[in-house]
Amino acid sequence: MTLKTCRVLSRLMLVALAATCTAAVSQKAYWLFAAAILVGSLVLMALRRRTPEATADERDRQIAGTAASAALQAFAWIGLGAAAFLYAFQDRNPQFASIAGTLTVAAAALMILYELIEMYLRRYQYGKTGIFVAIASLLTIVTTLFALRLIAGEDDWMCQNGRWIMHGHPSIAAPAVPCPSAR
Amino acid sequence: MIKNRIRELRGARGMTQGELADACGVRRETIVFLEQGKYNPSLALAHAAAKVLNTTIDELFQFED
Repeated sequence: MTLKTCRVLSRLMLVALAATCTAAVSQKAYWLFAAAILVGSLVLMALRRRTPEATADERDRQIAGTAASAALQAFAWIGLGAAAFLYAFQDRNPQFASIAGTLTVAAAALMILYELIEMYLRRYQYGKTGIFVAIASLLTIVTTLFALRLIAGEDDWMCQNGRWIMHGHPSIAAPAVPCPSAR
Repeated sequence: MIKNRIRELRGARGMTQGELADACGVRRETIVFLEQGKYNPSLALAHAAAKVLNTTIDELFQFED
């Protein structure tokens, strides 16, 4: 397989993976989410193995570093912009606040993880142990999951058949605005 | 700005870009950009290229102010 084919297939695979994961989460089919991530990772690894030229050299790593940094910043800015927009219009749909919270936490978690890894590489690149990055990554993942659980909208008001239905045990009263589907 | 004589010395030894890339442990694309002066190599790659082309880093690369 040529490098060009490998790159095209990898990008298509990532788009398919993103679409599958989004659909799985929106349908609350978390087993499908986990399976998609697993299968996607295996396919990407297989593609790379079948493409000897895909082995990264120093220029690839330099470009990958720049691209990763740019992607991180783009995600943070776009995510926070979208979160601000959703917060501003949360009275139209109570789920906007949950989505905005998730976006904000995801952007913050990504920035924290980036900073931790960068700190590790700067300080311990020539050291013996990778335990620091392992602990930092684990803490970040656990914190993110915990924060996501808190704001994931499990306890919220859901609009169903033109009525606000209590989902779980929301800490706030039902929205004063009409249920969107009732309009 | 760093200029180099990689294309000239590689041609003199009858090597292709792919052969030089394999000998230096990088991809051919990196050699292409290196020869065009669009990529500044690491010291390790500069050393590897100089060794493969049987010359020195000073001979291979010219640093201009």
